[in-house]
Amino acid sequence: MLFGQDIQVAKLPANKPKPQSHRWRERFQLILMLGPALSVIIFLFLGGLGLAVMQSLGYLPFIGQTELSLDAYRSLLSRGEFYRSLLLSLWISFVSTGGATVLAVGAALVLRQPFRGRRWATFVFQLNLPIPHLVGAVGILFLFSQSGFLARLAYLGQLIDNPGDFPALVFDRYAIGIILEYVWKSTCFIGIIVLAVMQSVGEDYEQAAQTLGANRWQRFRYVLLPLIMPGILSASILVFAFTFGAFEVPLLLGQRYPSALPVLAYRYYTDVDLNFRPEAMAVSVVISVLVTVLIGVYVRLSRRLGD
Amino acid sequence: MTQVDLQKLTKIYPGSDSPAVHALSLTMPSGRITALLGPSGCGKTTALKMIAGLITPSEGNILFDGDSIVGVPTEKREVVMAFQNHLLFPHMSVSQNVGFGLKMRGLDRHTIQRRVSEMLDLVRLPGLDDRRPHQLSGGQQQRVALARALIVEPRVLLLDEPLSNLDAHLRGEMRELIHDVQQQFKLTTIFVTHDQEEAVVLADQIALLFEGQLHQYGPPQAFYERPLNERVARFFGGINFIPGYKRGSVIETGLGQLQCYSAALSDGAVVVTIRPENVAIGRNGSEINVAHGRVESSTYLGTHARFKVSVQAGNGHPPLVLEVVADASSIHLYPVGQTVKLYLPPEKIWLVPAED
Ligand SMILES: Nc1ncnc2c1ncn2[C@@H]1O[C@H](COP(=O)(O)OP(=O)(O)OP(=O)(O)O)[C@@H](O)[C@H]1O
Ligand SMILES: [Mg+2]
Repeated sequence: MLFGQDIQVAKLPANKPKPQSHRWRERFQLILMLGPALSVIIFLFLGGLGLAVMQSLGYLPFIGQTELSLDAYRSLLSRGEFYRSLLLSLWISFVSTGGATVLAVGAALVLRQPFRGRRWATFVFQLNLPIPHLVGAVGILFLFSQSGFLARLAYLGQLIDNPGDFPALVFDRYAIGIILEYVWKSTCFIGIIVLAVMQSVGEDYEQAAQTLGANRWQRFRYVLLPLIMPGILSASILVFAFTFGAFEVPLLLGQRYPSALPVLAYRYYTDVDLNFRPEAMAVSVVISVLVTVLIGVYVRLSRRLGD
Repeated sequence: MTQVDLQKLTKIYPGSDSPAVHALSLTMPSGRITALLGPSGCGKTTALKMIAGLITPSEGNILFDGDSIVGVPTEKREVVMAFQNHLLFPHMSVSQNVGFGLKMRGLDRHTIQRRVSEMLDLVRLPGLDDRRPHQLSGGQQQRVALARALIVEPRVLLLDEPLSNLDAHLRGEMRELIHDVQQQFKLTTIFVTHDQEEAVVLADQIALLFEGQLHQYGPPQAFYERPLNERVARFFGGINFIPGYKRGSVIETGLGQLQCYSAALSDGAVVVTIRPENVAIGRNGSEINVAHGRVESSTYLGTHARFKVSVQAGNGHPPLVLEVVADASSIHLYPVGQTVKLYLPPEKIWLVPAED
């Protein structure tokens, strides 16, 4: 929602108020048209979230447990593992979203200029959009692990004495492999959105600023950036929320301990002991709440920065 | 005070075979208003952007007070351009917009604030500092754009269609404002318009362009009294064009022999032109330059009346229709169908080259 609305902010408001009855009819039509898709989303989303909350409160009728309690949260919050996972997840999401956003804006700045072969460059830039994260993760493994391509290359080039000396970029403390995968994938996603927004803003405002004496950096900082900020925000929020909640990449490329929050939830969930189920769900609920809160803070901050 | 010289300025956009601006040479006097006039697509904006440095010329040179500025980047040219659609920054308030140029020059906040409120007073917009551009009317937006341009005290002010987005009433107001401000600052101002009336009212000099080429350059009266060709005359509301053959001061036409004082062209085929308001209709003692015709239609226009009069031409020429503008009261004197006498005063007749 956020996304679709905000991207148009740069255009000038043009809609005139419509008569009341007209508006109601339009709204009704809209609801009818969106109905099917909306009901699926509401059912899956709210239904799923409701179920997760219930289970996190210990409501597990299939093992005969129907009493509600906060036990799962209590035990979760008393565990050091949880906090380490939380920190790791925050680190991964912030660094990869931040890195991808900076790279994406840079790429969009380059791709919006006229140059020979721009079409091709843009096409190549978008190529990784349809590739699943799983494949990306495998690619990172192939390239960066200590038995990977780069390690062997370095060994052959006699930069290192044996492949094991290659710096640990996968299964490492700083989750570099995970971050690399997310940056690789999200840069192009954010970049394409930012490029579209830049193109809809056009260059006229910057030209006006230029005749008023603004140099290249000032035009970017005071004119272009604030105008594309809504687009950057929408795109990077999506990426942030995704990286904070997705488990497959950290599962494949992460250290076993501490593991990212979603991996923790996944481990609890797949534990043979069904008593871990409420805690798995508690982790998921915490993820949802944190993402919501962080997005709120992030939006506030960036709005202020954009002014 | 800066004199602007364009020397054979040419722009060919990549992928286009005809130049958008072709070998444009002009000297625009310091401290005056020059209008670049012409129909849509004739290259006015292109020329302006080359002066601003936003477009690189394909050929030619631009001089400010004799020094070429082609190599100087836009932000250092001290040329401010106000655009066709004002282009106020939507994410800034009115005062931030106006103060933008000073902020870019690193002036301190207090100075900026003081100058901004002076400027807003000057363009008669006090007290709107905190509004956003979309909360202003079209006329107010245009004035904020003007204030934003003036505050940096540019050497040259470029205005691209400053009046075109305004309705008739606001247009007059804005025109006055531009005039006053220009008088006050004695800024070299170049403004673009497709409206000849606007150019005439506002400009000291007019450069008329068609398809990227300069057709005439001079003060406004010249375009009415001494147009260089039929196209120029038509653009300025000329309607009566009578083919003829010039021999000395006499021109042989379908209306008979016409005397004229215009000596600009050599003998041969010419086109005689006279503005509708210069043709005298009705009883007139003159013996020369007279034609008789029939009123075909008349239109009452409040302050004056407009007639179409057809004249039987001699020597097998097709009939000629002349348009005449006269006093509003004459609408009753010459009803449709009446035969009238027309007098074409020799001093009002102008000749342009025959086009083949
Ligand atoms: N970026 C561009 N690339 C290619 N051709 C262009 C470009 N900009 C303008 N042109 C062409 O150059 C010619 C002159 O354009 P320009 O914008 O200077 O006209 P104008 O006189 O300002 O017209 P208007 O009164 O409609 O604003 C037009 O034929 C236009 O199509
Ligand atoms: Mg234009």
